Amino acid sequence: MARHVVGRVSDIPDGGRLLVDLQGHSVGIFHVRGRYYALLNRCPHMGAELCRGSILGRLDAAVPGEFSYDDSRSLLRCPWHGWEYDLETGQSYFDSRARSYPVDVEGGEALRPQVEDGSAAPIDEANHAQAAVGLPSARLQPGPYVAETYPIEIEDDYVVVTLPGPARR
Amino acid sequence: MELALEQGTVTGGWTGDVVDVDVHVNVPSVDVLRPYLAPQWLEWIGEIGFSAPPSLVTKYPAGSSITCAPRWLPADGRAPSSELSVVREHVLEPLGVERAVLNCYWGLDCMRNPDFAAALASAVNDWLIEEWLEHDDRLRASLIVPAHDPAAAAREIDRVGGHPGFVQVFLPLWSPMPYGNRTWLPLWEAIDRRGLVAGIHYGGSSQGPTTTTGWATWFLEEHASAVPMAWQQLTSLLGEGLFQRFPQLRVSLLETGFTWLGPLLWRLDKEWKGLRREVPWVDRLPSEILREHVRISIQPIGAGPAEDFRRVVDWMGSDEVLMFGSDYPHGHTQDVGRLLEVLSPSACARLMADNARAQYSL
Ligand code: FES
Repeated sequence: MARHVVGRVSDIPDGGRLLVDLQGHSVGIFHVRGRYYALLNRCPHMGAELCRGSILGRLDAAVPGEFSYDDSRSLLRCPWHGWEYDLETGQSYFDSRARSYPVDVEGGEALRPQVEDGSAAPIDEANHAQAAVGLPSARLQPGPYVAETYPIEIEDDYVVVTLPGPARR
Repeated sequence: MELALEQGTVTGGWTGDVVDVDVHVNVPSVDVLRPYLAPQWLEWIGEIGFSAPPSLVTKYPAGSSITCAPRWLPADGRAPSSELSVVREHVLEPLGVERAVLNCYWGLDCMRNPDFAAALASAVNDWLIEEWLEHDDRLRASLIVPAHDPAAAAREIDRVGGHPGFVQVFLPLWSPMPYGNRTWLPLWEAIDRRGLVAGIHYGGSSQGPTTTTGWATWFLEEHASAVPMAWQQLTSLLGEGLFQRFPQLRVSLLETGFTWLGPLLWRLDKEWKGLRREVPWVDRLPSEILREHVRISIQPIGAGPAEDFRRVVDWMGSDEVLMFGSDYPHGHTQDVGRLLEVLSPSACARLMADNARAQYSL
C-alpha cells in the first residue's frame, strides 16, 4: 500500500479533476459534490484515457419515456466509445470494470508527520504541472513551481490516494 | 418423380414433425370477398372499378417465379394458392404438415381510402375464417389489418383476434413509419391484449419510396431490399422499447431471410454499450432481448458454401430463432437440406417444428 498526497482540497473544485502520475500510472482524481474518487486513467475496453471523459448521472428507464435519473451515482463516460463507469466502483454499465482507488481527505496536521516519516508521498511538482493541462475544470495554475513549495500546511486539508503495492520514488 | 424431388427440397429430406409457418393464401379476386362486404362497398367496387390493391404489382409481379413457382401454377389459369384443396395437395399432404400458418398478403397498405381499406381487411379475415380455418384443423392464420391506420388496425384485431384460428397479425415489412414508433402504440396494445404474434412479412409500402433512400428501379432491388428493411424494423422495435412495454411480445420475421441476423446483433450490442443512455429502457444486450422475443422463418435461405454458411448460422447464437416455412407458392425456395446439414439433429427438430410450436402456442 502506498499513500500519495495529490493536492489540497481547494485544488479540485466541485466538478473538477486532477490527472496525476502515481507509481508510473496515470490516475484521475475527481471531486463531485464533496466526494472524491480516483480511477486509473485507462479504459479497460481499448485503453483510452478514461479520466478525460464526462461525468454524468445514472440514467435508467423501466419503459420508454419514464426516466429515473440519479445524480447521487456519478458515471464517467469514456471519450472513445462512450462506455459508462461508476466513479466509485469502476464498474461499467455492461461487463467491464475500471481500476478504482480509495481516496481520503486528511488534515495537514495529521498528514505532516506521515510525509516526514515517508509513509505518505508528498505532492509531486511534475504532477501538479501536468494535472492542469487540458482540464479546464481543475483550477490549477500551471508552473513554474519552485522546489519545496509543497510543505504540508497544518491548516489545510489534503486529498490522499492509496494505491496497492509499495511506492516507487 | 420430378415433383417429388422438388418437394424433397422444400423440407430438405426431413422425416420428423413439420410445422410450416409461412404458407401463402391469395385472394383470387375481389368476388370471393363479396359475401363479407356491406352493400355500400359492393356498390363502390363497381363505381370505381376496383379489382385489387395496386401495390401487389410491385411486391409480387404476377408473372414472376418468385410470386409463384412454375410447378405450383395451376394449369387452368386459376390464381395460385387460392383454394384449400390446392394447398392440401401441394403442401399439407406431401410435406406431412402438422400445423400451417396461412399468410394472406393483398397489398391493402397502399389503399388511400381508409374506410374501404378497413372494410376489405375485415372481409379478407372473414373469408379466411369461412373458407380456410373452419375446414381444416391443421390451419392457423395471420389476420390482416389496414396497416396504415393504427386505430383501425386495433379495432380489427379486437374484432377477430379472439378466433382460435388466428395466431398472428400480419404487418407488412414496408411501413409508413418504423413499427417501433409510438404512432403504432394502439396496434401493439391490441396485439398484446389478444396475445397474438406480430408477423412482419415481406410486402407493404412506405408513404414514400421503396427503399429507405429513394425509389428502386428494378424488382431485383426492391426484392433484395427486404433485408435492410427487416434490419430497420427490428432496430426500431428494440430502440423504441417495445419489448420493455410489452414483455410478453413475440415477433416473427417472415420471408426476409436470416443470414443478416448475426451481424445485426453484433452491431447492435457493440453500439449499445456506448449509446445506451439514449435508450435507457434497453437495459441489457440487444442480442439477448431480440433472441428472446424474435423468431425468423427460413426462406429465402441464402445458403452459400457450406463452411461459410455454417459460420453464419452459428453467429446467430441460438438454435431457437429459426422456424421452417415453405413459403409456398413462392419460387425463391432454396433446398432446405442446405440448412439442415449445418445444424445438429436437435437444432433441426427445433427448426422444423418446436420453435414454431412455442412461438404460436400450437
Ligand atoms: S476505450 Fe473506452 S469505451 Fe472504448
